[in-house]
Amino acid sequence: MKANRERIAGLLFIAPFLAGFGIFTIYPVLASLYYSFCKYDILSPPTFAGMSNYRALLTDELFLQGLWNTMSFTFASVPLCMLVALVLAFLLNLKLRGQALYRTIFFLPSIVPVIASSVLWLWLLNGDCGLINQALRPLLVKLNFLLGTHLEPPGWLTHPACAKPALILMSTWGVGGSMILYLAALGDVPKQLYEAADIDGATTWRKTWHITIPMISPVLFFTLIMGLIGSFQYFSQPMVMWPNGSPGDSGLFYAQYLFQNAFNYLRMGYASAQAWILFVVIVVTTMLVFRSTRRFVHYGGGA
Amino acid sequence: MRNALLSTGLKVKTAAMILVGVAVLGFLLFYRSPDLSAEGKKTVIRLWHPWGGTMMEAFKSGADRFAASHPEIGCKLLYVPNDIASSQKFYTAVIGNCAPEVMFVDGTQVAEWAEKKLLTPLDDLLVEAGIDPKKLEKEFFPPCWRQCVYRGKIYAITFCADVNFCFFWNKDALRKAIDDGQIPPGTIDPERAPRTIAELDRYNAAVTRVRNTGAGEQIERIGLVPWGVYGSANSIFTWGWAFGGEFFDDQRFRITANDPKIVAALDWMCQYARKYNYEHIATLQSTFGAAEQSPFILGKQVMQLFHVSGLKDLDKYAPNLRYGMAPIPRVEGVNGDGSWVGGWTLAIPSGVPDVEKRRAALKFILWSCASPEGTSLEIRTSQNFPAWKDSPFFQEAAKDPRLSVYMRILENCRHQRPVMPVQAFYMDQLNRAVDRAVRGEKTPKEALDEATRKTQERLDELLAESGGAR
Repeated sequence: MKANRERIAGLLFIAPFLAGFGIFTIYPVLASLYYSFCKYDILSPPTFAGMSNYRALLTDELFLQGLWNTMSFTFASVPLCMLVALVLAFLLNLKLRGQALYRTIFFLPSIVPVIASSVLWLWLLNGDCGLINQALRPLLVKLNFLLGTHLEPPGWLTHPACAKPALILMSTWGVGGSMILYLAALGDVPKQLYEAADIDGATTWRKTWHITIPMISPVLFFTLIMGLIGSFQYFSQPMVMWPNGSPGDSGLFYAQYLFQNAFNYLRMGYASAQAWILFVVIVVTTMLVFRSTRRFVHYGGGA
Repeated sequence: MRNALLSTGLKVKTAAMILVGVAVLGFLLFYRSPDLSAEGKKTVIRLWHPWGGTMMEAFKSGADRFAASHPEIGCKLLYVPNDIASSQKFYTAVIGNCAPEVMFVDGTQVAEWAEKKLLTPLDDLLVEAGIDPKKLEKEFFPPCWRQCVYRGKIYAITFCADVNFCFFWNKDALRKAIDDGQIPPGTIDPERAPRTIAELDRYNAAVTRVRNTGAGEQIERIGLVPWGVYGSANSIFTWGWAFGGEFFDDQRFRITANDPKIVAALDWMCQYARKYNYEHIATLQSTFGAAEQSPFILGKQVMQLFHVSGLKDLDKYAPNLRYGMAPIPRVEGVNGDGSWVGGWTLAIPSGVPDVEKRRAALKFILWSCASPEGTSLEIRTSQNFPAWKDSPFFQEAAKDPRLSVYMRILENCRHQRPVMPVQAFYMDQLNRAVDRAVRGEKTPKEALDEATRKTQERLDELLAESGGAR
């Protein structure tokens, strides 16, 4: 009797959440699956169209280009960001005076809002008077003089070949979050392990490779997965940097093209199909990463 | 005993919280902000507008004046942003049967929204109100009227005519270049605008200066950048018409972006990209976005096409700059120039069942778009040219030497964007085509063929969906 009452009370307490979750998450997810098989422009009822959206996507050059842009960006930026965050974490883990200050400084960029940091990078990457090219130009002048070459500073925002490298470079600006996680994990590696290794005469390199990395591997794994998912949904930065379309669509990302189809062209069915393909891509990639890295992730708790 | 007291206290607290909750909920549900212009009126119309800041103040004063002269009608204004990506609120309102009685619709949206049955045709309402549509049409600048007519029916009335565009040239920069000996004296006259494309090419060749930095070339100054007219799509519209092309065949519902004359226009644009190096021009143009950094104000780009809102920036950031204004240079042998109009229109959404409200809405629309009071300079501010020829606005504007140039362009203007659904898609395709062509990735013909094919496919698909295929 009491258990029953408690159950009812419990359900009542989570009812607001359940209602919200059902109405705003479960229903839209299922509805979008259905719409992905329909022609649907929001204004008239959806009409079933079988696999036609999926078939059309396979021959849509912009869809394929968006997919390629997103994939290549993800596979370049996620490992790079992890590496940068890890190196920073190692450096900031050194017992130095002003350690807390340095940690704060390196964390700061990641609390800058995306729009603000994108605008800031627009300035840095400006081909004419941006800081990066201003620094590059004198170097290139010397190099051209010495080697007789004709090198020019890159048009970061205006040349199709430079757009993605520019975004990748920009993404390393936001590694503060991972860095903090790595720092916490580094602080958690048991001292005894290092002491035991010292007695065996291990070098710093061997200690890092055989103790530190395995001990923080769960955190590395976590940031890898979150980084992958985040990159697949990359949206705001290219939207801010190229509001009227990127050079040669080299900065057209998957989520952007999805948004265009859904809200600019009112092709809700087509966009839903895109969303589901993205979902499958993320699930498959995450599963592959889970499988392939299982061997390398070491849980101290024995899980 | 203590426990019982505690639980009584708890009960009181809970009851109080529930009471407060209900009160707040009730307030949120039933509170309506008082609206003076709607109080005590028989018929109240709701109006969604896209204006903010000073424009909103001006528009609000207009609505108040309308309410003052129409005691039986009240207006409730609501700011609702309306751009291509954020009109969902309107769509959902129409489907949910709670659309406003009057809606600001961008000229490019009229056809698509009409095709999707979001707007009410005004023909019968006009006749019922004793207005001859044919006569009304004559009172408007022709392209402003045309952008509201789709499949033979009137779906909106143009509220403001966006005059696209006026040709500006920086007299100071030209004068300085001549004084510095960078332009041989006698080649160009800094006080006179180029009138033809051939002359424009000559100006461009004379003013463009490229500097070798030792690490690539840098453009120090250029004339006009043909694809820099408010985005690539607006650029190809402007030059395509200047070259005598047409973008849409509204009889056969065919996309004609690969019209040989438009191909010729894009080819002309590409010549600039090849001659002065597209990348170098793009670098010059990618300034920091703020108007004070615009290449025109800095004297790096000596000629540019501006919308009337450009005047505001020039006044603010370069009040002492000496510049000239003229119509867009013409292509020899083509009748008229490439100028065109866009602009906001007013329409009655579908799903306004109340006849009285529809009548009131039409009254408001006609008052705002085609009455001396509603189109006065005071209500419009200088940025919103009326589309109604008899407006007193023009007598005022004629006194202003700069506005009068825009007026002249409006009077001679012959084009509006194609009146067809899938405008947003078409413009994206045109953007892409121009981008590909000026980069040299595709020939102008290939790029425009592709834009034509894709847009036609999309148009056919949409017409099939709405059951209105031709």
